[in-house]
Amino acid sequence: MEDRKIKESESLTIITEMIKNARTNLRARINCNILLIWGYVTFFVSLLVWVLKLTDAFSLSSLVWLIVPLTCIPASIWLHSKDTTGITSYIDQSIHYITLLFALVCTTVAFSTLVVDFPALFIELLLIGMLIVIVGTLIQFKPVIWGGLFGIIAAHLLLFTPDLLIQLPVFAVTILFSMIIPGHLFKKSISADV
Amino acid sequence: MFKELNPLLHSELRLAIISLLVSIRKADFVYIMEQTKATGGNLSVQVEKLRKAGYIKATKTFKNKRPCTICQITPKGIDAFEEYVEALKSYIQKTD
Repeated sequence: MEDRKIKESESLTIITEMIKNARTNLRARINCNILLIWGYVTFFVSLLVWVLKLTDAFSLSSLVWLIVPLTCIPASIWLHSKDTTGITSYIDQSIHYITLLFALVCTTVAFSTLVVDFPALFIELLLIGMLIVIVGTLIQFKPVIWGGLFGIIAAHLLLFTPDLLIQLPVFAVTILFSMIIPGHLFKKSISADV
Repeated sequence: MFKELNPLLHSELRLAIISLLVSIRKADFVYIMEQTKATGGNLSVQVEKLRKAGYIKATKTFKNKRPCTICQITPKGIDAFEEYVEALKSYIQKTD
């Protein structure tokens, strides 16, 4: 393209072409990998906490949850640094800020359990489910939306199972169905050129 | 009656830059160059014109230790683009 005057009809062609070019979600693969890392780490950590509680092997097993932010935050930063697309779309920006907000709220909720006794896993799962539904709506991918809705429903089930030894595997299985499986389906749907 | 088309936007490359930045929030210089298929020198001149008009914001930064220019559309740029499209409509309706 050059710096030349154009006809009115050409203007419309240029606008359409540029909007079409920009529509490709170039950061989809990075966002998808971040979702999968959080999903897998949360899944395995919840199983680990469950095993530790079950065997009574470690009295401060709740502290094991810290593995989630301590591994996932640096991993997310590292994946972002690998981003060579050079663009930030309005959707990317929205996902970034919404995820940051939910991650902060989830962390404060987790730390609050040290002071006050409340059904933390119910609230955490509810927040995760809500986040996934919002992200799914933004990326317009139905399996992610369904995964998030599954998480919200499963969160309510935790209220009826007060035993932590039952809550923990339910929590892990819900993460599998609301984060890991939809994450892989989304990754599969991304075209090879992205 | 035809509305006057903004002369700053009524240029092939400048219109392409603004259309691209309206669709995505931020883009680096290399990405804009790839999408518009413009030369680096020409693109720099047009980006500077749009920046001086207050339509875009250009931030110089470093990415992987390499200099990188990030361009972002401003609210003034969005208004100018919307006005341009409105003016363009009058031409299209007339030819219909």
